[in-house]
Amino acid sequence: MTILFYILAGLALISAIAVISFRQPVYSALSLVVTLFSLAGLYLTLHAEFLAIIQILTYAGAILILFVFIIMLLNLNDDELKEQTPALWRRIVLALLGGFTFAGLWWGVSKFEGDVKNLPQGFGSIINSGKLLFTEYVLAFEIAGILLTVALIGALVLAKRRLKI
Amino acid sequence: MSLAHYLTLAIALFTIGLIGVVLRRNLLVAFMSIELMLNGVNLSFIAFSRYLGDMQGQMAAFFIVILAAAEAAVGLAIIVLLFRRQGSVQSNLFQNLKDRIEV
Repeated sequence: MTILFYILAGLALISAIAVISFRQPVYSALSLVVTLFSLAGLYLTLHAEFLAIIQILTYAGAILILFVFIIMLLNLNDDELKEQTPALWRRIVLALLGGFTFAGLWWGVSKFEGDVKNLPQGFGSIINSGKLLFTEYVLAFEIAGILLTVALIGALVLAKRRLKI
Repeated sequence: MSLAHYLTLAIALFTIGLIGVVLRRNLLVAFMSIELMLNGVNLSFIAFSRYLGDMQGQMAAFFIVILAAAEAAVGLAIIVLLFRRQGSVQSNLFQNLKDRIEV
């Protein structure tokens, strides 16, 4: 279990750094797939089977495909991908920002010990998730459906070349 | 593995995403960094859910995934629109709303 955690965590971190350092957006998108898959593995170690499946289906399946489609649709050439290296003061500010964010949040969470509790039968399974979704969270679930519909219509209206009303 | 291990990884992912949003000029990569930040938060939700023995954190993470899907659809449509307008996805080209002080 410990070895598995360190392998998956290392994979997630390395590919996350790769996402923000590749010049070509296609490589970034592919590194993001690796991050998402290793996170799905970590969800499995946390007894969240349903969410691991959702992570692969929705993130790696739908969202990343959308990203890759858009990257290929835009067909950027090398000129447009060129970014000048940031100035020194910009890099210092960025390092400070990252360092302070990490240190501050880490200072907050490092106190959590979190003893491992004996989980109830079927914790994180699809059956229990479905029961919760359709009883306690049914209102939020319906609102999520409306949100997805609105996003779909919004994306269509935005991407259409000329809207004739 | 203790809760702090998972939370440290979640924070690291969040910080990497934050740096990516600020550093990168390419709108697509900045958008992917936002997805990284969302995933870091999701991991912390699920880790807390495991160590408190409560499914509510997993439900929160589920709704965040739905939100990310909606956000990706609209955000990518906006990026396509911006590309049609300027022929580029460099964020420093889009300064129409920036205040220009004439002296």
